[in-house]
Amino acid sequence: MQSTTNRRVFSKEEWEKKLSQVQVDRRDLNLLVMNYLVVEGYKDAAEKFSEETGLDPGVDLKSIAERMAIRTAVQRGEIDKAVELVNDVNPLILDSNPSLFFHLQLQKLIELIRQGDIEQALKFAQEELAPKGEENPSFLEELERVMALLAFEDRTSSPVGYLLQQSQRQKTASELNQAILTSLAQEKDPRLPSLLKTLLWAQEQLKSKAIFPEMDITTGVLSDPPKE
Amino acid sequence: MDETIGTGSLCLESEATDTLKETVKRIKNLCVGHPAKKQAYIKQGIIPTLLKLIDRRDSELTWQICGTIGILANNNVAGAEQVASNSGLCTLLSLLSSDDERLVKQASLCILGALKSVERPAKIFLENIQLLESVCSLFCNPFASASLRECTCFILTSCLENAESEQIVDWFRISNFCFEKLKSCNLRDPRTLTPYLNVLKSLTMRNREIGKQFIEHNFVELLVEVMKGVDMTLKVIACRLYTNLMNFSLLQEDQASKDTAVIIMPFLNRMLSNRDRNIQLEGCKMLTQVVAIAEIYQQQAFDCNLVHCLIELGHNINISDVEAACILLQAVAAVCSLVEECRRLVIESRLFSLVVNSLDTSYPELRIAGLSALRSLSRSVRNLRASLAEAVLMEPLLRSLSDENKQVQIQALSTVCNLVLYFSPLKNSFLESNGLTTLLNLCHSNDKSLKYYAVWALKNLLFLSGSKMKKRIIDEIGMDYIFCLIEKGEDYSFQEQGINLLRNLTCTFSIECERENILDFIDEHCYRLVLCIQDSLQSPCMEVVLQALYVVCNFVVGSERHKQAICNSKIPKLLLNFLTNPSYLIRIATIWCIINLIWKETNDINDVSNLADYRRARIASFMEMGYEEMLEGLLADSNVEVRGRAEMALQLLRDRTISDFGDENDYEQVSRGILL
Repeated sequence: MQSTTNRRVFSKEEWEKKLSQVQVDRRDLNLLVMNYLVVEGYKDAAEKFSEETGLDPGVDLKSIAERMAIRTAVQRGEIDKAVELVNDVNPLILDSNPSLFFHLQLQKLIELIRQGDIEQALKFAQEELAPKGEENPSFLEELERVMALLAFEDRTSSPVGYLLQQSQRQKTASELNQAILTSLAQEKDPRLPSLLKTLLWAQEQLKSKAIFPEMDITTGVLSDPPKE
Repeated sequence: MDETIGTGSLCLESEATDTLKETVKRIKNLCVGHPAKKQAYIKQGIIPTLLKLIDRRDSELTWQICGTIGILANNNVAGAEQVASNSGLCTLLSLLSSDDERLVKQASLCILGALKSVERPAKIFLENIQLLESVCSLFCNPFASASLRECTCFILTSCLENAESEQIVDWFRISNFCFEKLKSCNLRDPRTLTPYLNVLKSLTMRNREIGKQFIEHNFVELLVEVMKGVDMTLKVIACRLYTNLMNFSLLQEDQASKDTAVIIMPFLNRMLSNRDRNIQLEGCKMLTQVVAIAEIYQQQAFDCNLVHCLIELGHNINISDVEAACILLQAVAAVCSLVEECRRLVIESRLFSLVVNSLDTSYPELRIAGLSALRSLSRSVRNLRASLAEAVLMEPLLRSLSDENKQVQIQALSTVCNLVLYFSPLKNSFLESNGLTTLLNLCHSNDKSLKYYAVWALKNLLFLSGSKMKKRIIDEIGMDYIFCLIEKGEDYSFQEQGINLLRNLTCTFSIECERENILDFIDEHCYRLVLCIQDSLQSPCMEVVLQALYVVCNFVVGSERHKQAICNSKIPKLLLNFLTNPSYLIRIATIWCIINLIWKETNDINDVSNLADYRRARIASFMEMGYEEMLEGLLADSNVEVRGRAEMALQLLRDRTISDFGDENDYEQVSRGILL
């Protein structure tokens, strides 16, 4: 059926029928799930999933446990512990990645400011971070942003207050996790988000050519095709 | 001095294991990301101390020590060299056969970090065969962990980069092991192929036999699949391996050409367009390797916009970044060596300024790379007429001829060879800038390579030059020089160049005048020249013989005296034998000699009268020698040009008129300049 704007119109029934004709291998689905669990570090879930599906996780699950311990340490703000743990896994990761190491040290600075240990924060910034900022203009910029926290009484509500939120810890943890995965020659990004991005993009592209029931990626449910 | 450094070092003398472990761990954590602290600890002599503390009975302590040493050596040349010294490596390598996987991994990382930070990692192993053999054994351990494989793979590939390594180890053991592993690898995870493909890539750089075995094991399809994959590191390795096989002509041409066009060139485009400098430069190196194989790949590079990519890169690379500039210029030299469109694009772009500016830097490697690129660009006939002539090339180029670095001089000479050819607008510029004096000086160089290229450039300068230019050159260098090149030839290459010089000198056709006078000095040295030719025609080197035949062709044109001089020597007998030479080029050249010897001349440079009588006598002599029968035999030659010329010669021999078989332009004068 053609619409008034010449786009092909698919009814929900027609669309569902076409989708049902597409074959997706169960093993491929399981691989996607396993990949997500392994990369994101859900060790216990990966272990259980492996038992139930018979799929090999493809990595040493112990390495997942190590990564998760590191990620948890960062998420709790225990940066020194995280650095020690990373150095135990592979000391070259931080030594060969000055940018990552700097971000971890910045996170440590943020944690010192959060705890109110301003004297220690200033000492740490002066001794450890300022020399690196002098060598690298982008580092200096990031350091200045963190130091700006000290200028405000109510740091959380300040323009740089986002640095104190959990999302900042999460960002640092993800960056570190990716570096560890790269050092283990493992994929650093799970495939599932890419697949979903492709789906959303394809739906956007298709909208210019057809009217069809769109899929809500959070629920997997098809909506009714929009009316013109 | 940092307090911790003194304290840390003191604690290493403690006998308490727990204290030792804590101290070593603390030093490790202090040094991560702190080059200054690393340096301070290294100066205190911590690495030898730590190596002595390695105790295989205490895995935990040894594991910590390996981690700490790895950090100290990482990106620190002094530390790395201490670790990579003979005793350090022996100690660490011995840990790789431990049952403790965690320890093996840590030791592997430590060794890898150190070797990647030293200047020549292969040197240590090439000087200690036992060490290298132990690495080979570790690599071939079927149960080796990924980190051990990676570490030993790095060592082996570093050693294989060095040509010396070929003879010292049985590499077939390694290649066979790699083949077995490739057969059993999990293809769903291509990264498991990395160490084996990496080692095979290095093995096939120089070893054709292993390349052949790779194909016999039917791994080419696997290689193509990997090249189509997503893992960048693996794709680079696979492309390099594929190129090595192409280099040895082990792949079917059609398939190789298709795979290169469809997979490798687009991949190189992505590499050159990547924002990561290392990937860009790796792409340049791979491009240099691929396009050097054959012209078709240079054409493919053009079609795939790779020249545009190089030009873009040139915008972002500063000449002060010597390494990057060298790699880029080498890629330009390679991709522009045979394809005109590539040259045109580069000459018309800003990249050309990088080429010119590189001639004046203080880095010899950059001057060499720039001259190499210029040499390729100077092969451009069409573009020589415009852009190159406008550039301020001559001054830096002439300076390069007198460079203190011999390789720079050789590259400059090779470029001059192209720039002084008759059609080059830069030829006059070269002569006006006093280039000839420098060139002639180099012709007398004690260095064989310099002399060789200088003579080549001189030959090209003489190619189709007028009498005035030839006279000027001979006035300066003397005929004696040329005869000495031929008579006392250091080797056949010099004899060949000398004969080539004679060939161009004796040619009476020039770009200025269709029919030049024969030069006085040729006439003056007539008999010595004939003796020279006679000796050269008896050379075991066919290239020398061929050039000597061309000299005969040129020498006898328009001069009865010269014709008689030739016929009074052994040359006619030699020519008879050459009519049955296996090389068609020699047969054709010989027939031309005969044609020119019995041609019906209408004028003579010495105003000799009775030309017809002399000619008839010569023909009678040739008939007596059996030329007619030999030429008749060539009427059935496999080569069409031989058959045609033989017929023409027979007609002349039987004294038919020219109009019976051809036209006056068939009178052959043979002179040739060659683009380097």
